[in-house]
Amino acid sequence: MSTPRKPLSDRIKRAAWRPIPPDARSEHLSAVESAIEAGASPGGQVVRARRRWSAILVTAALIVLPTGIALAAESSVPGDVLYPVKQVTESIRSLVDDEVIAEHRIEELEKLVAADAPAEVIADQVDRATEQVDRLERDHQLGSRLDQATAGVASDRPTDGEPPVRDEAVDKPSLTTSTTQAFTTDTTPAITTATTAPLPGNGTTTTVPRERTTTTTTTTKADSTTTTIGEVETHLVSGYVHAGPTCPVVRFPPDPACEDLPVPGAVLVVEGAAEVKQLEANDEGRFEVGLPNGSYLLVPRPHDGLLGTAPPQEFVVEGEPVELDVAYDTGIR
Amino acid sequence: MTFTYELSPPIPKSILQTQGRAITRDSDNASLDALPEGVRRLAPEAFRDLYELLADGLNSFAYSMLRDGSAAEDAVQQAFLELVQAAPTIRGDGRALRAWLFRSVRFRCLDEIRRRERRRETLHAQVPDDLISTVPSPGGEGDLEAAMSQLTHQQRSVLFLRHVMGMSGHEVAVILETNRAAVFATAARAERRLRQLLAGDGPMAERSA
Repeated sequence: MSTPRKPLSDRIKRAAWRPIPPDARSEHLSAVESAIEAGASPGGQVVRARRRWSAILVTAALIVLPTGIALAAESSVPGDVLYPVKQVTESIRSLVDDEVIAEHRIEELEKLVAADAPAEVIADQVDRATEQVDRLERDHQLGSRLDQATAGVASDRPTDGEPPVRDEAVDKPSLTTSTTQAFTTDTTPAITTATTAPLPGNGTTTTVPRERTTTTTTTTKADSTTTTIGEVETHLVSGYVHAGPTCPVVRFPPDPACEDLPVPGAVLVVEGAAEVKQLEANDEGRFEVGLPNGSYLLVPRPHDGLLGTAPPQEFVVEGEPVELDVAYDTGIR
Repeated sequence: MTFTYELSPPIPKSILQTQGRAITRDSDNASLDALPEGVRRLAPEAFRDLYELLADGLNSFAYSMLRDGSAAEDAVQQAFLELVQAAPTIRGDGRALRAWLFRSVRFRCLDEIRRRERRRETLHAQVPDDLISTVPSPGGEGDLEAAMSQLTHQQRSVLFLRHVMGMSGHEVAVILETNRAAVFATAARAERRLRQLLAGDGPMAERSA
């Protein structure tokens, strides 16, 4: 504390001052000028500008592109290029919102119906939407929305030339109690539209278009055997699809354990003069379909796991219900 | 790195460097304020003038932290080369430019100090402690250098920037990334400690005895 402030300050200045040696000074200046020359050259500036713009563009692309694709994919429907992107984003969103997938399937169904999509596409979409809604509670509000959407498939779908005719007397279709079918009003060929919802104990029926012409669509109850649709009366055609033998040795009296087994999911094609229908056996091997009077050919399609295919059979609908028996060969001998 | 700060009041003429090279005169401040525009345009003459004006002060500052002449020169050169890259983005007047350079030199010195500490740990494992000590460079102010070597590098930096470069408390605070009150407190503690050491109190006296 005895040293006065002024002398201490001066001593610090003298002690701390370290000028750069002349050789180091010239070396530093030379290095700085070289750096300026490299940085100030037009090429250097262009490179820097390019790098800056590249960085900006890449950053913008990384932010904007995925967001834009995801947003664009939101409105896609099955078959669109961006649809897989939508499936990925919805699978992520479903982690926090379990309804999002079902909502999307129903929205897609509504869009497909509004866009007059082919019957097969709509049928597939109905299956997807139903599957997703079934995953949620059945009494969920989405269930009623899906019912409305599938009702739209049956009754609101526009046809070529004429508006659809709807039978006001029949019940409103329901996913669990009714089916939807399409028939022509005259003998000119052609069913153009139709999609059916799953029918309890009745398999699934899909009408395959043969030629496009005027079509009348309506609905019918599953438990009726004769229904009038427009001018056409239809009759119940049902049957049992089974496969045998199931044991290598046939015993007498027959062994109950070796009885034929039903073939769930067996696909049968019914060819008539005016239309072609594709049927599918339910879990019990049963199938049902309503057909107008006429001659038909039932063609069973090959079935996975069965060696042989049931032979085609002709049948005639003449104002009465028809019961058919479709026997596949298992190949067991 | 870009930063700006408010202009501090003019440096008092009372803090004139006796050797006449430090930037403490009003004419030097005027010269400094004329440089930023040229530096931003990467004009070689502006860099040359800036170097002539500040290089010795920067070198002395680096030496006060590192106690190593060649390491101090390297820090100064690296700071100017970094300035070439960052010049277009630097805003402010001549004092902002000067503060930028001192900050750059300080960061490099701190890096070097950290590297040395790592090396010293390795060295300590092999060499006895009493062989590792700071030896004052020969010269008339050897005792002062020895005393300053007992201070922390933050205290040495504050003393240097205040007494040698004649910077205001605000400027020193910007360079050392602290506030003005801390700068004044550190300066007061450093001066008190230095006087004690030079008066023969404390560890220096014990060591010489």
